[in-house]
Amino acid sequence: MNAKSRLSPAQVERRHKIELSVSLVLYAIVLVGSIEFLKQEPPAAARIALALAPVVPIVLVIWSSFRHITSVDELQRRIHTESLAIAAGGTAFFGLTYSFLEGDAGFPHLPAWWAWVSIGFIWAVASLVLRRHYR
Amino acid sequence: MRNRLHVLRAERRWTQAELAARLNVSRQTINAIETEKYDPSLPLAFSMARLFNLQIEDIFCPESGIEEKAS
Repeated sequence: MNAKSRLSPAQVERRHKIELSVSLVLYAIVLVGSIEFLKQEPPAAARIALALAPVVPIVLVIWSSFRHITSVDELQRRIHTESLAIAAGGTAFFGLTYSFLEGDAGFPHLPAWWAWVSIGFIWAVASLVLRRHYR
Repeated sequence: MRNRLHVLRAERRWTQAELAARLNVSRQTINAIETEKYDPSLPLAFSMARLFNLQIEDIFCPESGIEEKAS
């Protein structure tokens, strides 16, 4: 049951789509702006601020996702939390496995943002599989 | 857990979407409960009982309870 929200499931989904879209558009704008300003080789302090600027809209993405998970009905929340647990476990496993390959077998270094991609990808796939299971 | 949700809903000629709207959950949740792939929380089970004007045990029954009744 949707205890926290008086909105209907359809209204919750619509609100999440709007919030997520706005956050992602904002992220793209800030990211492009940040890259353009960094090309002009600003001073060190400004470089740090510019490099961190895209993190602000990402906080909005995380906040929007958290608000969505706490607003959906109980089955949808179960699907999301199980998918997130699978994504966290899968990313930890992948990260550990790859660190051995990187350290001992000469595999190329992967940047830290790959964890974000891995969590997002596994979360999406696990959600799809679990949704089919409960259909 | 076994349940009679499908029968109770059919008696009232409600679609899954109509029942879902009355309980403020998604249609998928109703379907998952009816097909016994998902057991609802106590608050949702109480809401269902209130909606059908029944006791929770009139709608839901543990598997062992059904076996005991059958034997």
